[in-house]
Amino acid sequence: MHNKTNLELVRRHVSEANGLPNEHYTDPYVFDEEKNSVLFSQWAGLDVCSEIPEIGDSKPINFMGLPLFIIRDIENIVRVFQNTCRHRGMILVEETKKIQGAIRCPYHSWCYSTEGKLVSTPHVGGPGQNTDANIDRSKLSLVEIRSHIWRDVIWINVDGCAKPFEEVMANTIERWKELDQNLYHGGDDGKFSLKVQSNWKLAVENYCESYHLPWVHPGLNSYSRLEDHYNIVEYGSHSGQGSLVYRQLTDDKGQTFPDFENLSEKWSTGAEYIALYPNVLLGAHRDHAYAIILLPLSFSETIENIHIYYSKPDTDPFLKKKNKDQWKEIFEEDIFVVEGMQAGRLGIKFDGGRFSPKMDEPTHCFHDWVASKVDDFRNYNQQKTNVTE
Amino acid sequence: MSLNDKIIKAHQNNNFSLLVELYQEAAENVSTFQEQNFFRVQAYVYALEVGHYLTPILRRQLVNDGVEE
Repeated sequence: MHNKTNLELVRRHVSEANGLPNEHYTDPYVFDEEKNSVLFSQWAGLDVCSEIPEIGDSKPINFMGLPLFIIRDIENIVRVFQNTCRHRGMILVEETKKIQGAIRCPYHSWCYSTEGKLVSTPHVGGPGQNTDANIDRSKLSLVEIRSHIWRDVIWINVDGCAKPFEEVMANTIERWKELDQNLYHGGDDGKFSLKVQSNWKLAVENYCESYHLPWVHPGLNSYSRLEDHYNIVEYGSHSGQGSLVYRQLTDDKGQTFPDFENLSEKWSTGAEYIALYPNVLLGAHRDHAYAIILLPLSFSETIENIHIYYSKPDTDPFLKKKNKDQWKEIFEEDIFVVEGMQAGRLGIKFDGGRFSPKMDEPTHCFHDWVASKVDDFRNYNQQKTNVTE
Repeated sequence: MSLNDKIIKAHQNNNFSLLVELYQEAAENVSTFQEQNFFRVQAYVYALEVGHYLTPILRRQLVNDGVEE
């Protein structure tokens, strides 16, 4: 029997709280517990729609051990399916590809439409006979994972029990409602990936506070000082940081990216960076935005997929490249931090750490959220056990 | 090259559109109903996969023969 971590200290006021215990970063059992309580039961980011721009485009994704694939169906709807044939459990989509007609299982060729319906079961009733009285195709569609699209991100709720996305994310949607405009992916110069030897939560924690900027990003600090930032803290929802001094990127002729339309004055020099729990990090500016989707590979390994967006479809390639390189440099500067915090948590006497009530509240907000979801999960399981007994 | 060899080569090349044609041809060269349907099913499955223009016709044929829904 595995001992449950003590989360009582985490849930205290930030001035008295400790961070999540080491086991939340170093223990495969807790990683698995968080998989169910924090990622599968909530609205987690999986990928972006721009990865499958055309009808029939499909892409397999392993999400915390769960084999999934995304597909743009024949009606242009992005769907997420479990990547498992209903016959013998074979993986259906093994590589990114365009589905021309049907998804054919490579094992016995059961065929599914892009909408997930089982459309043919060749030789199932014997050679040359595609029907069998015991095979009811209407009950053997692919298992679809509940999904929602917002800001091009494909959000999934694996257990299917979360409240509707718009309800759960209402605070953030409201906060950024004027930014709710068409987003145009930057293409090959609008995406990159980083692999870090770190628990996924450390990437969230590092992202949502500005406290580290003078030390880790001294280049940024030359124009964007610590005092130009503010905390964004919505307990139970999201946290992050804002900047009051966003400076647009320019080319040799002083040209900038075109702005999103009809933004309020706040965005003229403002920028906001929000961690939308559990695993999506969003950035917004007057002229571009980005989404970072964290895909945990294990308790100590995470992929960060970064996608950058603009307000118009054909923005200047030179500027796009420059912008991508700039963000890549900044995010790479953070790698030693998240990997260092991961390594530091092998210190068995580390107690989760103390927060600066002034500077670390966005981080505590995230810890409190994780702890609350883990608590809910444990309570639910305890109730189930009590009923069984 | 024999039809059998052509089919093997098309499989090796993942040339599914060609397989639709070759399996139809195979269906025409066999004598029993079961053999014929076996090859028609093969043709139909690859037609489904590639979204071949003959898919609805092949399906109707199989449905009429009582071997497809």
